[in-house]
Amino acid sequence: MEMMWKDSKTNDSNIQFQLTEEINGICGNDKEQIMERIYLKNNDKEKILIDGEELSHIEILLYKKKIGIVRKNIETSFHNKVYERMYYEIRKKKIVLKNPKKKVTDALKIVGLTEEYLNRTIHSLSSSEKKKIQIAIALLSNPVIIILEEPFLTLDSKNEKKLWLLLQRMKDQYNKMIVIVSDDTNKLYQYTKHLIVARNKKIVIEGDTKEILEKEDLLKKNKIKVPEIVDFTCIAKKKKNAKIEFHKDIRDIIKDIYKHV
Amino acid sequence: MSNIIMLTDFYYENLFQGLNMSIKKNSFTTISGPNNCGKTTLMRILSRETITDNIVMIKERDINDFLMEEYGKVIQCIIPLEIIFDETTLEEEFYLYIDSLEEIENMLKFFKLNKLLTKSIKNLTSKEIILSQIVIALIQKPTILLIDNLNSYFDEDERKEIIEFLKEIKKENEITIIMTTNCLNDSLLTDYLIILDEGRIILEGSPIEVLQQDNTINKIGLELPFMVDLSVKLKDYDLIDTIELDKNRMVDELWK
Repeated sequence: MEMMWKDSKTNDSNIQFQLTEEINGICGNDKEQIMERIYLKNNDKEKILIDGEELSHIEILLYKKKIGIVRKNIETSFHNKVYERMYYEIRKKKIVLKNPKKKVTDALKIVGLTEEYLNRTIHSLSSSEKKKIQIAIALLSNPVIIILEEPFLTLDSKNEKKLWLLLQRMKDQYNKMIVIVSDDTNKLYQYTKHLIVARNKKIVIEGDTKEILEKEDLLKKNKIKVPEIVDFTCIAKKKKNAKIEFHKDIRDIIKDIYKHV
Repeated sequence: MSNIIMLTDFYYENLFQGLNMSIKKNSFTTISGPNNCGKTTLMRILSRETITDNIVMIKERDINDFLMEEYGKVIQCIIPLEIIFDETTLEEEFYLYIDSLEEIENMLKFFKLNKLLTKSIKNLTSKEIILSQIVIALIQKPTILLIDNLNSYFDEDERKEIIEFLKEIKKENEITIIMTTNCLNDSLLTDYLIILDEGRIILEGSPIEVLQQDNTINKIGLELPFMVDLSVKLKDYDLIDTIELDKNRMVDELWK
């Protein structure tokens, strides 16, 4: 899916990027702005084109309904209990459901939580449970695009793997578009296929994650942190001309070292 | 060094079943563990936000025996707040505790809060709120400072800055700092590491020694810092002898 923003007066293209079927990643100091653009926030002065076609006002409203956002922190305001928060979402987004209770429990089941969580207060949940509830809330409206802001931050490696498998399943079986907004290049390197780097209101680099995150100079120029495993490989290559390849898994690097040392 | 916090045979709901824990005076301790291991609950119990019948000893006194006014001098706890409705400005908040901002000027400058003084708390970002919470906690000169989950708000470099700053504070004042995190990389900057799982302490000691128990740590679902992970695995292959945290030195060591 190609998204493009044009100035409504001059018709100049302001910003343009692709979202692919694979897991997408967004990083850089202006990543929040790109995230806001994906869910079409503040769009008075610009025209929005998706796959080359301009969206009308109604199409924009319909598009907005198809997006689920999982924020860094859960927004609770006055809703103490999990079920209150979930029913609020259904009311707020005006989701038409035959059986809301089933939808709510199904959403919890997908993220691996039981019905008992409905009566828990949000305050009493641990950080990983909060994250799971957030994803369940995002799933209620059956979104086409799911945006996750720093999803792996509070998760341990078991839960991280579970979330990744869940994202894979949503992508493959339900054709959902997944966008991960994060500054943790270690995780982006591991989990995403397509990467957008936004810096100072511009898209500076866009393309295959592996290719981008292995170009050390390019990353340093744009003040993006080099993934640890890439950094190590680069130092070894530069300093000692070592014959090791770029790998995502630490064990593969060790095999390379073992062969050549 | 004597112990400042003692938990003996501690029970709480389903989380803790007979936990024994002691924290040394004037240390900088990291408490880590997988999700749902009770890190935040422990912080809440120590800050008396959650009341238990169990005996928790601080400075050899039961925490329930302290008066409310007294307790603020003993423990300050930073657990990120979820909702804030306060209209007060940051300045007003600081003046509740001190008469002039001069003495905390350095702190404000370091945390880049000096330009936000007239802003109301409601309009601050969550990062700024936590930093001001830290300042307010330190103004009261507590014996113990608890900080919960810095890593859900700050990135790696920012966390490192905050930890280094707290270490400076610790040098000048008598203060015990306890931090919870699930990012083990941060623990390398601190003195002591405690790893909890299923309500028990499974590993404790100096961070670098604890982190070498890679099998146990991976099994409970924590991630080793990259350089420790690499070192431990290379050690298994007899390629190096010691844990090396610096990438450049590691490369020199490997390709002699």
